Amino acid sequence: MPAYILFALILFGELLIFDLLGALLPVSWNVSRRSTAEQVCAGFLIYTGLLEVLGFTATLTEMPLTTFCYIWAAVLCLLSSFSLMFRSKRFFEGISYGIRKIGFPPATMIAVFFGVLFLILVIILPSAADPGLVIGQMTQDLFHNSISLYEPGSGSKIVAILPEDLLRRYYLSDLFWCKIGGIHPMIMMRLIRSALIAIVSSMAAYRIFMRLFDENRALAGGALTAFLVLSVFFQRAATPSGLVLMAGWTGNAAFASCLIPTVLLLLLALYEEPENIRLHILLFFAGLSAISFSPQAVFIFPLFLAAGIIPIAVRAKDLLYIFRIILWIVVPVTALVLCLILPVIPMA
Amino acid sequence: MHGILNNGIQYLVQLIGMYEGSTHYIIAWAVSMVLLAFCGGRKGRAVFIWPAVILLVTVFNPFFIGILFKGEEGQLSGFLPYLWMLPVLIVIPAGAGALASKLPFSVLKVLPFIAVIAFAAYFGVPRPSAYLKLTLPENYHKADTELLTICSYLEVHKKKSGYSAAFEDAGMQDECAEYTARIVTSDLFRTDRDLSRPAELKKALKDGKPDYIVCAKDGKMPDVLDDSGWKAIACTDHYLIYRSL
Repeated sequence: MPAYILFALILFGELLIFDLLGALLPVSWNVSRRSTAEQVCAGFLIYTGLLEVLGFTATLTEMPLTTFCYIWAAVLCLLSSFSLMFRSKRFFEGISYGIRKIGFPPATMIAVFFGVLFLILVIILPSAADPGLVIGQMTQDLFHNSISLYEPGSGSKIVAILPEDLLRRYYLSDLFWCKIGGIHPMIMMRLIRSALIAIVSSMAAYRIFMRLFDENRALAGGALTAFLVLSVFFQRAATPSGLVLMAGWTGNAAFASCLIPTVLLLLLALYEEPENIRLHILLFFAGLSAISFSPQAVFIFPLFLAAGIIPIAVRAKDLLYIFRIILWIVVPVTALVLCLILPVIPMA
Repeated sequence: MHGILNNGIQYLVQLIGMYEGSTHYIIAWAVSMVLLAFCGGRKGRAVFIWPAVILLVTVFNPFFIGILFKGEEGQLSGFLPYLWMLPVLIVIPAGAGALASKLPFSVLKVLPFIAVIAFAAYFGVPRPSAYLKLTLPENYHKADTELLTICSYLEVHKKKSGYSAAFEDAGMQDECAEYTARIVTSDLFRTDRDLSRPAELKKALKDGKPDYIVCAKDGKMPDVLDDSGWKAIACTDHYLIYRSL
């Protein structure tokens, strides 16, 4: 049982960092409309986007894992402190407003939180070994104190790497927590990361419903309940809910069940505030996160965003939007070109 | 052209079936889209309806799909992730919520959500029964305890550094690679050869001989290994560990 306490602490630690990072670029500036769930979703994008930049550089420079962990810890500490200091007034304003107006977090969210935790931590068993060998790669990286230098299984030195594998850096965050908590990668990915992805996914869905139904908590709670029941019954290997329940540690699960709903949430917010520059920056981070999670994202993400932004751009009647879309998708498109031009990248 | 369109429609239906297991969900999705169009307000239309229409006209256009997968149905599974762009699981409850928002009494407002839950329970993939057995995982790793026992045994009884082990079960070998980096896994069994024949096994062993082989107790492999001069050094409930002499 004490081990579960450590796992829960890491999970809450990650969620807290998401919340602090999300507070740097709040989706809604208005304190009365601020929501922890929305902040966590925004923080998730910022966290993964920054991790992609640092992780990509660290892999190319063959940085030792320990050095990477020190740098990442410093970045997180710096940004979290900055978030607390810079936003302290609004932070406390938010808390006092929350106590006065909201009272407690919505019962639905609490139920979802513990329900999901229970499902992921206790009941659900993974279907099979990870086909992408991400956990195997993590085990090798921890053993050799390196990043993507040794092949999982055979343990031989990697001489060349596929561009999409080089871009898929999301698991470095889990390596970081493995190193800090002294946890085995299998436990980290199959328990903690799976739970994290399920929680962020539920939070994103909840906020979508809240925004869609003009902050009507009863309707959003009902919709969230229906969403969760559908998720349990509507799962095959390729569906987002199936990925979360059977292989929540994979990048595809994070992309399909967290990133896409979070982008939908941002598009809803953008519809309300088309000129909100923070939303545009968050969508840029979403592009960075997308390539970090899944090789398919380099094709899917630009198409998804283009389809999503056209109605908003038409409503805004602003040609500048076209340039902003280019900003959002510049990273996935560059990644796509890189994948098409370079079949493999030789490692030193 | 007509043929391409027909093929495209067939592929699209196959794709949806492959994705969800049943096509009922796409009907619920379509109904929810109609509800969102009429009751979802401007926001619902802008974020759910128009992007879906754009995607259906472009990416999921049957004509386009007919051209793309001309005669190669096997490629269809590669197209599955594109369906993530249509957030079916979010749209269905959103449609129910949109309808509920227009209903007059609180009691009536609950009905659309009950309908969605009933729909999910009736048409859903009957897999949840496998998950809701309320069984605790055997260990924190959520892995087969027998595999962890085998890996621990191999780690302790290694005869030299950099030793290798081959697992008859490919999934087990992958999980072993996930569990420990101290065991080098061998690709002995990842071959098209029929290794249940002694001659084939000997040939395969010449290419790369592992130090240990882990095989199922009740398969053909133990007899073949006994005949080939391997020695069983340990056994678990279902597996035998062999060492080369």
